Amino acid sequence: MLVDRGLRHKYANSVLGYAWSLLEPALFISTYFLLLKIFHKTYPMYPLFIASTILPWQWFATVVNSSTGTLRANSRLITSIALPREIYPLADVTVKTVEFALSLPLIVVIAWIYGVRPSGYVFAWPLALAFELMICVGLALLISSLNTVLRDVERGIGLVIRALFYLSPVLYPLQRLAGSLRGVAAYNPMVGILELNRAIWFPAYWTGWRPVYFSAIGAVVILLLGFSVFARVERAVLKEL
Amino acid sequence: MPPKKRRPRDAIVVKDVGIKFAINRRRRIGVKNLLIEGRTATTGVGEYWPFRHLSFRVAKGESVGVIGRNGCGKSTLLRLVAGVMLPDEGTIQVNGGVGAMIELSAGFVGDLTARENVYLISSLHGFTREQTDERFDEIMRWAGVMRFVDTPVMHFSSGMRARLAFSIVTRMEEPILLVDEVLAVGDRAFRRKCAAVIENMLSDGRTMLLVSHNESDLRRWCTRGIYLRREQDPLEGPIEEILEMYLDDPDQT
Repeated sequence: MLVDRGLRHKYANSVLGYAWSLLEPALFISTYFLLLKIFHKTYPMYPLFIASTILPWQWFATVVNSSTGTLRANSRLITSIALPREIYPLADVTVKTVEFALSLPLIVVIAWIYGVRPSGYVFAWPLALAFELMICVGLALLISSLNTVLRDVERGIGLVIRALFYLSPVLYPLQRLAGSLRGVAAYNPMVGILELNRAIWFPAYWTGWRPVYFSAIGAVVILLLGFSVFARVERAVLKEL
Repeated sequence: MPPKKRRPRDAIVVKDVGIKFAINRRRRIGVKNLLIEGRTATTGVGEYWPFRHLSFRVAKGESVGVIGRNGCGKSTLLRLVAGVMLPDEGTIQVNGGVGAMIELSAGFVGDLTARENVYLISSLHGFTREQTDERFDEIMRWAGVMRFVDTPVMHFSSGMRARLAFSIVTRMEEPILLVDEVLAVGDRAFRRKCAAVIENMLSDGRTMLLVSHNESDLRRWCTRGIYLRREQDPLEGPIEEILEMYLDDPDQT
């Protein structure tokens, strides 16, 4: 109940307006579309292609990027009112999840323009969402707590996310990687999630369920790791705030 | 006459509590240590334990004063009791909700307005929007900041902030109140208003832990005192004795 109220407050203060939730990804998509058009590396219906993966990616990336600052941003509240400290990163994830949900109509509109209907993989979509949510929660807890005691985390995380963006099949399908590379790439838990998101609109690019298994394992591990690290580091974190 | 012997359930039970901080800015953080034990590794030399082996009980309805020199851990103690810091040793048990005003803040978020802060803080204390609506005017009027309800709190003067914080915290109706130096910042009128509120609450049977440097306030409200001595075992006793020890302490110059 408390958490819920805390969330509503945060949400009221964070969402600058629905327009932003659509405008930002739309700008992203058009930027990448133009950029890759120049290099002749596009795929058919490329805007839909990018939209289907870049929105879930943005969800993940915004959570990770903002999690470095959540505890410090709320330090006054944290040091005045005794509530489970986990709610602050969790509230942040919730806000980002809502923003993601609000941006989804963009995909539907683009698909409608192209006249594409979702494939049967749409029924597996909840899996992709659940795994991504677990990863987001786990990482938010992990990064928010660690960054408070070890400021280096913040510096590193930006670079890692950038690198991961190009290493993950966001702008290209996993199919394009050579067989051996594909095997390695599957260890990245975001791969299965992204592939599943894309398969909803482009089942032809689907390479099988293997990456999704890794996503499942990764999601569980990251989630547990997040909670346990947060609990362990909490004492030190509270002294820093 | 009610039977006085029956001991009421304690509001606060502190047992053998100690906390340490790192002295140097560049702590040696063993990542391994941090993850395994949840503590930052510091060498014995770089550690500072403001207090250790602190044990005391505060009965329901009792008011206890905390004294000690700067840096002896008074605010830290309130934080520990408020549950917003965790001790490195010992246990703390608090029976009942806590309203804390530590370092002149009730947990304000600077870029939110006074109104938004009141709603945010009271929702975190478990109040519904309607319950806050009922109290809102009273909180603002008491704090004397009616004109500035929609001003971000970061533009408030420290006195205004303290008034608002005190006004919020005392109206959260939590059975336990932690107060840190409120009376030191306000003007005369405000101090008098605070005193009236505190007396009211004490007669209501609320429990208070008060940090103050003001002897007369401590004598007036507190029955017992805790004297935190830097890096020595803390003392606890009737407020008069504790004050005397504090004032007579040769370390205290």
